[in-house]
Amino acid sequence: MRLNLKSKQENTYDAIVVGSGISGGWAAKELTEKGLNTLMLERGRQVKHIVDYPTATSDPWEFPRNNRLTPEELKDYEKQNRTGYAIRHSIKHWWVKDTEHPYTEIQRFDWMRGYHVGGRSLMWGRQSYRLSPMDFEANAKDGIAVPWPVSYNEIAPWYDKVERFAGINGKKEGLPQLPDGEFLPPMEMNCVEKDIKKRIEAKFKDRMMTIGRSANLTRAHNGRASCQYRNMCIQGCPFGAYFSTQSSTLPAAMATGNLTLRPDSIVTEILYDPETQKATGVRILDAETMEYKEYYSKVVFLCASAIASAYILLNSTEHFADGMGNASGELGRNIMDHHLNAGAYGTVEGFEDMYYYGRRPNGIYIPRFRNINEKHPDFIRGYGYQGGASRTGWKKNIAEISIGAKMKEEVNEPGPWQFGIMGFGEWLPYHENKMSLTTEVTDKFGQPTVVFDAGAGENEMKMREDIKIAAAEMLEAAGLKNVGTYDDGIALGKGIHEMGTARMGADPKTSVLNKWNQVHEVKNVFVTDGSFMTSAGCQNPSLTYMAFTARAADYAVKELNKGNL
Amino acid sequence: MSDITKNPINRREALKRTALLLGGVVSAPTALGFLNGCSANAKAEGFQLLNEEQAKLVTTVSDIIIPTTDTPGAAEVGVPTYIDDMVMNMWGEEDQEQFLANLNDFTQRAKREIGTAFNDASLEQQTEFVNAEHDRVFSGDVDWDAPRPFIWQMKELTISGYFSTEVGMTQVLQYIQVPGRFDACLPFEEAGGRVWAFNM
Repeated sequence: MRLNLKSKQENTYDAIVVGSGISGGWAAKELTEKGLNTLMLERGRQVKHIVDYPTATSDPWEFPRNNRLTPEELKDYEKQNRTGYAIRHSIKHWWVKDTEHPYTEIQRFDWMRGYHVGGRSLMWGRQSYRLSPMDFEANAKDGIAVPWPVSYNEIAPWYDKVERFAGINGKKEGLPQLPDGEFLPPMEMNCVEKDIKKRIEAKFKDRMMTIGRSANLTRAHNGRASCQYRNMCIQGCPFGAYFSTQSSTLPAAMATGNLTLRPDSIVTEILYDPETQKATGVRILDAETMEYKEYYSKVVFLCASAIASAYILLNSTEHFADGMGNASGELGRNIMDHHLNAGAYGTVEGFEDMYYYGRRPNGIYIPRFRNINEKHPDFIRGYGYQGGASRTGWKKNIAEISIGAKMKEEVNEPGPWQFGIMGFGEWLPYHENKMSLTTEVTDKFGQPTVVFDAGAGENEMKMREDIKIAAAEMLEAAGLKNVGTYDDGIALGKGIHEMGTARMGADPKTSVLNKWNQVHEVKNVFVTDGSFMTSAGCQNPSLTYMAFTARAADYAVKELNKGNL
Repeated sequence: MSDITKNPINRREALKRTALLLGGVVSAPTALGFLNGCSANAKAEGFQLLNEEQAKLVTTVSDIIIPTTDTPGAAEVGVPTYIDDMVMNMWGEEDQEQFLANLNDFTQRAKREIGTAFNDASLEQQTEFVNAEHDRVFSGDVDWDAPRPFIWQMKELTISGYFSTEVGMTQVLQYIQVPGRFDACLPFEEAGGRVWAFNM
């Protein structure tokens, strides 16, 4: 033992949480509230609520060049810029520089991420939907991958719990494919959306449109203020009105007095004692001092993201040649996402005297309707649509609008209403979709990097065709004009819902985690970020990570108290 | 790649030299334009790309496109340096050269039409010429696929620049950072009677 006993004692906690995003925040809150002395490790910099949101109250004109980066500036963000919206002066500080954190693509993979306290809880889209009973049953029914070891009924009370704390607005609809939750009051549809909803529901008996369910507060909740309808969430909310680690779980965890947060701490591997067959803690590289340090605990919660948690396990090779927890060979495989960027749009006639006040940080949702009662001939599973109606800016185009004093009047003649929807499609888990590590390319800390070799299958491509066609059909049936479809191309990762790299299952031979998010082979390591997902559903997944994290933390503490860990 | 294609400064230098070498071949007005446009290396104060003459012209044209009324015009809110900045830093080298060539072409046409250099003409003459250029390009059937002439580029740049300023967004259009509430449906007049500048 290189460390003396005293320093080992100082570096010892009841629990270590790796990562400070949505899952890490929940793990820290639940573990500390249950009395565990917990260390939260975050690889990136400290970001304090409000004071470290540099652009939270910036107005759009404060950013140079219309908020766009120059081609020269974009060279640092070649991959992070693929979403098209992320790399702006207003929010670029939330995304890594690809030049500092490279990865290799055998097939294209859009790995969008930020290294800072709060992780992607600061930049997330906040759409919050439950998976349904049919999602948890799908793999077993279709004979795809492995069955979920957890049923909807088992996770439902945990959805209740996390929704009540996080504050999810939405409308109860009683749909089997999209269970209702413990909602704050719903946001309102604008008049065009209300009209389109009526028309779609009249024409298609199997479809409906509801207001999006989002983690924005529609009234003051748990000491946090109500949404002010700025729709500048990603710049950071000075009102704490959307769920993030900083606004919600971190203050709760800090209030217990049981949390130590250590930023700039890159976890490189999990330490393991072959005698007890348990993890003993983690090794970190201090990003500031470049020194390695070890921290010890009774349980480790990996909440670093689907890719980063799998990375840490794959990199824990001191006692496991293929990585910790990889006896099944499934670690780093079955990567899923939601495929998006395909749908339809159109213009709406009428409502020319109507407008809105405020910017709603939420849209409409058309829940999945495929493969619920009738089987689609071309693909299994389904997709939901997200979208919304808004008025375009001024009516006249660049050719039509006058120059001179008259222009200032003409720009205040608003354009027509437009409506668009985009599909969020389920991606199946394919064993051959994998990530691995390489030491041939290293990051700015000299660490191994990720190699992605994963892509889309036939089911995704056929579903995608239907996403476009069904969208256009609905828009035309709703009376829209100039209806068009679009498909900006399928890309794994672009949904920023990467998941499945350490899937859960009943059989240790075919899965990495058991039904409690425990690594089959190392029972005191829990993985509760997107890694555990056995199938993807088509719903935005963060709410599900919250629920499983809270459930796993509860289980971990009970097992600790029983002396089982 | 040679230094010439890699380095914009070198490329511009090279083009300039080529123009001088070809002096006998290039028509007189073009050569003159080239000299007017490029030989004066000194950038106008506050500009990165445009020299004194070019900056003056861009300033005048942008202010004709969006003039001062009861609200400030394009020049007063910094649109000319915005245009210079965008063309210098956001546009590729080829587009940059094309912009300068278009500017030069505009200068030549102005001189022919007005009978004096655009920058020396009266505001009335300048406005008349800009309007004529605008009508020539935008009246009737617009060719959306044709290379965009100077007046088209200036119109786009002036509009995008002006409406990304505080004045454009709050005094001409409307913008409120903290709306405080969401009214999903209300008559246009009750929603402020102006177009929202930031309509996310």
